[in-house]
Amino acid sequence: MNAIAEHLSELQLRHLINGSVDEQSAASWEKHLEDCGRCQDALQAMATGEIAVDSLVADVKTLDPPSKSAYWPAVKAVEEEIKTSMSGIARSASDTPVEGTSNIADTDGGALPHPPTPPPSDLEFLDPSDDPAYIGKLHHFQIARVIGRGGMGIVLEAFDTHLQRPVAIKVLNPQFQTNDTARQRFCREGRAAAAISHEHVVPMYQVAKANEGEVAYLVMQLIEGDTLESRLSDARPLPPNEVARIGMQIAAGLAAAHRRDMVHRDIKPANVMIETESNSVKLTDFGLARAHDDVKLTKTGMVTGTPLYMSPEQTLGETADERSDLFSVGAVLYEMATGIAPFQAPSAIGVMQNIMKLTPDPPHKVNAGITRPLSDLIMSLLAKKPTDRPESAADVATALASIVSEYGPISPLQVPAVAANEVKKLSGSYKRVQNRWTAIAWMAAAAAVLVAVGIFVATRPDTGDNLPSVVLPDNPGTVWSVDFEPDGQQLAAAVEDGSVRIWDVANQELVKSFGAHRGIVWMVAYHPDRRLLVTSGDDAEIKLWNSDTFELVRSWEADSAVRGIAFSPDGQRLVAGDREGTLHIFDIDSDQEIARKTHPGSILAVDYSADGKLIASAGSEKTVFVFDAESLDQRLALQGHDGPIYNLRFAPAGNRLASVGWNKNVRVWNTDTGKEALNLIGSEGDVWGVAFCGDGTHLVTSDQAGTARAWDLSSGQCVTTLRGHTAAVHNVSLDPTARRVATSSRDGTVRVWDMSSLE
Amino acid sequence: MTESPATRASLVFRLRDQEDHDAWGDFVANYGPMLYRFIRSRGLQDSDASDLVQEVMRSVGLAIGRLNYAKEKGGFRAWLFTITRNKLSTFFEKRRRIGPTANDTAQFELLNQAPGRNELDEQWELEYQRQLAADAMEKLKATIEPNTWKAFELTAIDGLTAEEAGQQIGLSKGAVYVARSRVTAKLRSEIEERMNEES
Repeated sequence: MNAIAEHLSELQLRHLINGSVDEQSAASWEKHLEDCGRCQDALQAMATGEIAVDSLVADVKTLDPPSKSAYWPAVKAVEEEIKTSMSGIARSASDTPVEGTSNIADTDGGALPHPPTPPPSDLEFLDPSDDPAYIGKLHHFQIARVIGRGGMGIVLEAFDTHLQRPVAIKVLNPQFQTNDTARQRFCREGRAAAAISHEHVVPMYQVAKANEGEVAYLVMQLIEGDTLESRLSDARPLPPNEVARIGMQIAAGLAAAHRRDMVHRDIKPANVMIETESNSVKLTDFGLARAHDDVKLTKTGMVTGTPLYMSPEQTLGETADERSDLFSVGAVLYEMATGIAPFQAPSAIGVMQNIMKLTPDPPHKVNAGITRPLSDLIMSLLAKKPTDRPESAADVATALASIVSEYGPISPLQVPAVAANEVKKLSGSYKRVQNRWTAIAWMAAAAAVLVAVGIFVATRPDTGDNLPSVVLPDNPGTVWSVDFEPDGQQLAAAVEDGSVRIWDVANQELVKSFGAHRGIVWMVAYHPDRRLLVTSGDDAEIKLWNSDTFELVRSWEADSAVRGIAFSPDGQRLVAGDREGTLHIFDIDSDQEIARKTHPGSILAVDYSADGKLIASAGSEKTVFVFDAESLDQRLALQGHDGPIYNLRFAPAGNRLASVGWNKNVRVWNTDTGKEALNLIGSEGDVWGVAFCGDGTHLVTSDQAGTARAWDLSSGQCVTTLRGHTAAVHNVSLDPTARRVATSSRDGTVRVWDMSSLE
Repeated sequence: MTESPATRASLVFRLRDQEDHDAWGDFVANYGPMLYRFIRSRGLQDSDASDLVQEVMRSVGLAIGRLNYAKEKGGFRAWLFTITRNKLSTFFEKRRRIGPTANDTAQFELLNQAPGRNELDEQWELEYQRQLAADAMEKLKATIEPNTWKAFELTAIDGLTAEEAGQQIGLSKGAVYVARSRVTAKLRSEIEERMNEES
């Protein structure tokens, strides 16, 4: 039998595996297999499918523990133990003449002779947990394990059984708990810290007390990662670009706290968390040092603890202010840059003396990899006199951002959110710096910016990318839609978990979060002039809310999930498009549906024209349908998209309509002629969001690659690119009152971009 | 590993029934070795790992009647994983506290840093799938023509080339490839079936 020459087809391979082939063919195919590596691999791959059967069975012979392992006696011993306790139950059950059930699975607990294991001795404030997976319980938190123990208290990993999420809990040490001042301060500072919402600050969820107020604890987000302290534990410097990046993010987080007049007081590597997945820095333990001081002071009359990162004024027992935090940032940066804490000494007193008197060698002399600007900035932070240090944490963050850029083209992804107004303030303070160190640092930083811009021009076809943005983080899931309030103060975000979140834009503060729909909230939109907000969801509901109280005003039901809604320009009507392709028209003051119209495909976006005469609707059908808003007669069917249309918007005046969608499509139509006016080229991946600027001269789009773009409609060119989101940007909204753009993304954040520096 | 998959799925209920004396033995046989391997994979010595397996089993044995974990926490296996993970953490935390690296200021020293939680999850899944695979092999062996099985065993487990295996059992090289793929495909569907029952 000769081998066949061609490779075996998928069907042939399948026949071989199933044995569903005559012997003759099988033999010739087998012959081919003998010498064809490709078909051998294909055959085995088909057999294996998605399960790595080969590797699973490879060591099947060594699956059991070795015969001499301590495993065998250990398992035997526990088996005896369990059997004894089991028979104990059997006996006691038969002795007790109640409910003659023989199956303890039906009983709800307490049937076993062994009580739940009590928590370890130093965790005696915990209640025993009824689940052996946990070491104890504190209110509704199941405590999984101790993450760390420090001077201040114990940090626990726990599971919040109400909100069903993992959290970290910090419990004040027992000796502190007995000190009322310390406990009160612990709670007060915890509450203050809870007000800080910033991507580089560990979010604080709750401050609580247990055991009749005797045990105070803080509940915060559980960060999966390690501390800067552990990264520095081998006394080696970090790579210079990492030094600048981590420093920049510390400074940005600190700036957010300082804006609220919150001083950290204890910046040190152990309080800098680095998230494993994102490598992002998160500051923790805001203001807690003060509660610590209360105890130490009353006990010994003197501040103790780790003074390595303390400022000179702190070692003197003076009040720590923002500049004191900056000194500590300098000490941390110094250690990252050189591997050595700058004021190290064998004793705490020695360290404090060094802090007061010693000027350490500049980092660039200790580690040649550190550039002069970075070294100079660190030394300026370590100035003994507070007034000689840089003015603010925001300044430092910005200076470090430009230093980061020295190490390569700066990715705005890494640039943290320093509030836009802070950035502007910086350019003013830049001219005012008197101090020698800071002046040098700023000049160097300015030079670095020029270098960075140079690199930018060279590597990116579209420039102007580095616009300041503010991040509104930690929305619990993809943010599908975002809309500015008509006065631009707040914005609303529609989140995948069924909630709507209201943010105060200027303060980056979460104002309100409320459950709006079952399943995904697809759309959110503010009423043009009344204090109303409309949302629509996967539950087919359209809900109208009071945008001051967030009470439900009215709700309507469509036939299926509603992904497109829009108010008419006069605000009297609402159009909603559902998955089954039906447009529903409602009067916002009535519960009744006024009209409906169905077109082919499912609807992903709808809009009213500026004069209120037309309604456009589009979705899976690749066609933009335009209807008369009154009669719902179809006026146009605009064709050109080669895939689904994800969004559309009428221009604020005139006859233009923009639609975006699958495969980089950005198209602008003339609704008078029904012709395509522009086809904008240059997006990355599918385009999800679109909005016209206030005067209709520019268009902003957002795409799958996490990028938003502004287009000049007179030239058809992309004029700026907004990079920063780490996942698809689903929606854009323009602030009606200022030159700001909000983008909402799959990455769970909303970003607000300040476009005022553009034309 | 003599129990049918159906029994495995209801192991949880049997463990709760003090009349069912075999349930415990089945639990130990089904999960013991994988617990041991999983814990060893975190770098523990034989004796420490054995102690930890014992602790996990004790917790399961003492608590099984009290819980309705199947409803609230994604099933027995997930529950067992949580117990094991937390016991491991406690072990490491204790060791770090008494060890030379203990550091008073080390707050927030997260244990699951080096192996991220995802990695831990993956390792757990892998050990579980290995156990299922072993189980599936045990069951399949009797149903497959001995030479075909042998061809699979020699190549997939003993690591022989198709040619070497073929010589030993008198099959052509091509026939060995086909035999191996047939057994592999059957194993795969057997494993998939078990995974679906459990989840």
